[in-house]
Amino acid sequence: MKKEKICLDIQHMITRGKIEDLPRADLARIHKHIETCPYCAVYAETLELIESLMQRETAPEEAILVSIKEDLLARFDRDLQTEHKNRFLGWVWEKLTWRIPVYQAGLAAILMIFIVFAAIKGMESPEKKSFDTEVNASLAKLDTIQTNQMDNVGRSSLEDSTLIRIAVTTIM
Amino acid sequence: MTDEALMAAIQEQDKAAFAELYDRYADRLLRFLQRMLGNDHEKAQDFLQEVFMRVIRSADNFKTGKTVRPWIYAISMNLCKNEYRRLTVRQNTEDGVDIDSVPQKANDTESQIDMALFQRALEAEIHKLPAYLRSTFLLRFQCGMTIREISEIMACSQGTVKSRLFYMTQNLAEILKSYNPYNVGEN
Repeated sequence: MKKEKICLDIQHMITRGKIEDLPRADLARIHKHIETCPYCAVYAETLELIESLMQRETAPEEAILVSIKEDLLARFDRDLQTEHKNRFLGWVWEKLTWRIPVYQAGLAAILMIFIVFAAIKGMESPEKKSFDTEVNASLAKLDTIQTNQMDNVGRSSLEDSTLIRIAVTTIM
Repeated sequence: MTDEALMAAIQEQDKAAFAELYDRYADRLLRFLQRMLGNDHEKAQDFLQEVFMRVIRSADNFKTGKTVRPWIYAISMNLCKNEYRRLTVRQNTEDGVDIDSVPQKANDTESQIDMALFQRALEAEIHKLPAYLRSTFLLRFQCGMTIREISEIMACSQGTVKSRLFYMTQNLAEILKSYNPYNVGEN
């Protein structure tokens, strides 16, 4: 039998009635139609069956639920402790992370200073380098002379001049 | 004590409150998870445990003024979504229905068999649905949730939930009426 338009409307209404509340007029219309239309009655009955089968189920075994519960309760304290520890570490990390750019900038600055210093040192003129070498050689010579004098006289010329100065001061 | 008050107590590390919340939801959630996971009972039990572990871990994220039920079901839904991504659960559909658990609406044996067939067909059709439609259907007809709660869990508008439900319910009724033990034989 081909579905009548009225049947389509009624079935539409029946379906809608499973999702939201229908106006009383629609409900009355459905009931009135179902009394005389076996096809829409089957449609409505099918939806009723679906609904009841979805709600009426065998309850899960109590023992399973209890066992899961015991396990969860045992883990409750342990998990909270871990959670607190993680939260503390997270807090520390959070406090540190915002400073990471500052640390990076500091390191970069130190590195730059070091590089600049090394570059300046490396860029000294050859004339200055040779002058430094000459001065160092002269100083070394002086040191040698002074040492020789000390070996010969038993005291340095500096000491001599100091003694002379003391003698002159005393006489005067 | 309301669910929300229990959650507030759990935030204060109240173990008894957690036990109470578990007692209120475990049974319903396990059934929901079983259906969502193609009647894989062991997996559903593992998931139930994981759901409550997440409740403990993210108790602090639960905002005051929100309702607990959609929140817990949203956690379950997310777990199932991840599972769907990992594997297909439809394989379990074939041996998913326990004939012994079929509710006995009719009295005679023939009607019981018809009812069993009806339920088997219903389960098969439910598992043919894509995950988002299946969960919408189960939240409404198995868990008895309101349209608003479902929209909150599924993160979509109430209008979308309504249209999805309408489409699925109509489809299921059309498909399953041939299995209806009281069918008069429409052609």
